[in-house]
Amino acid sequence: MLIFGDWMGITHRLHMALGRARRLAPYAAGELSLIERARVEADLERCPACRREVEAYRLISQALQTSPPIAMTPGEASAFWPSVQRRIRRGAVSLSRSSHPGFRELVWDHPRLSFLSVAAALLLIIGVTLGQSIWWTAATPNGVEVVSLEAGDDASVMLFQTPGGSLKVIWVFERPSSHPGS
Amino acid sequence: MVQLRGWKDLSGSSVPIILCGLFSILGMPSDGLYAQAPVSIRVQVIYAANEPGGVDSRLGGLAGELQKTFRYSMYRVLDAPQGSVALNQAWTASLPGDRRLQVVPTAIQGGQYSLTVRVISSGGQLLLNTSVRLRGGATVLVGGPSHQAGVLIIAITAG
Repeated sequence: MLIFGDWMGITHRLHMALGRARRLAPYAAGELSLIERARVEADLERCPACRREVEAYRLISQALQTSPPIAMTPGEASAFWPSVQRRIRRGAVSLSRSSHPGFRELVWDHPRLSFLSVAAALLLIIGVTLGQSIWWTAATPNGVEVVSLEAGDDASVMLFQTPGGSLKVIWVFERPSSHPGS
Repeated sequence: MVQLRGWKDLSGSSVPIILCGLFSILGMPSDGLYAQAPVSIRVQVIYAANEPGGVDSRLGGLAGELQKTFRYSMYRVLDAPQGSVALNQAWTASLPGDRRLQVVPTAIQGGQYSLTVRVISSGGQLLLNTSVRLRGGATVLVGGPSHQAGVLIIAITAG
């Protein structure tokens, strides 16, 4: 008999240490033999914390019994644990993902598609750069493009390139008055 | 709870972004880096006329192109000024007959140099104002100003 009551839950801690608390859940579920049941009840009289634990087990047990039963086919049952283990291995990040993965998850986070996206990006960059260069080279074989051409008041200008030559020439026609010293 | 992402996690999602960034920087450095660097300008002032003298050996490969393009018998290099100038800064060279050549590099993009070229007469009047885009090492010719018995041909190269 406890003289000073269950001060600071000492009795419960003692039961925990002795392993008696492990019998509380089976007791709450009504799975103990009569002898075991009597022992637990004796302990419960001296341990308010144990009583609260049993009460909690009973509440949980009731809640679980009121949940709808889950039916699985044998195929689903055999695939259940491997799928749980895979998800555990994948970690918390994959668990938090949407069941309908977006473009980023499909293309960027998938290892192979990620590699392909890198390759595609590189090809795009090289293609654009080379394309510009090739286009400009084709458009201006001599590497010269005259963007604008303007003559002053004392001159006129002409742009030409001979068919066989590769030079682009801007020709200035001066009026006689503008070059008196030449 | 915040978890630091390891290199393994980075390999999935961030590598494409990192690589794209790197290749963007490495593949197109010209604008950012060249904008700080001066543009090298080389000019040859050539006197072309139908008189004895032949072709100046200093013209190098340009001599053949000049002979294919023009019908002058003599090509002589009078001057070959060159220099470096920053973007949007004017580089000036003297031309015979008290004329001036002014070159202003305005942009560099993909190895192409955008230049504004002006030829100014002895009286300070503008004879020519043109904008050209040159591939690095390419040459544009400005010809026509009269000199002695012939003309001046100015070969301008950038890069």
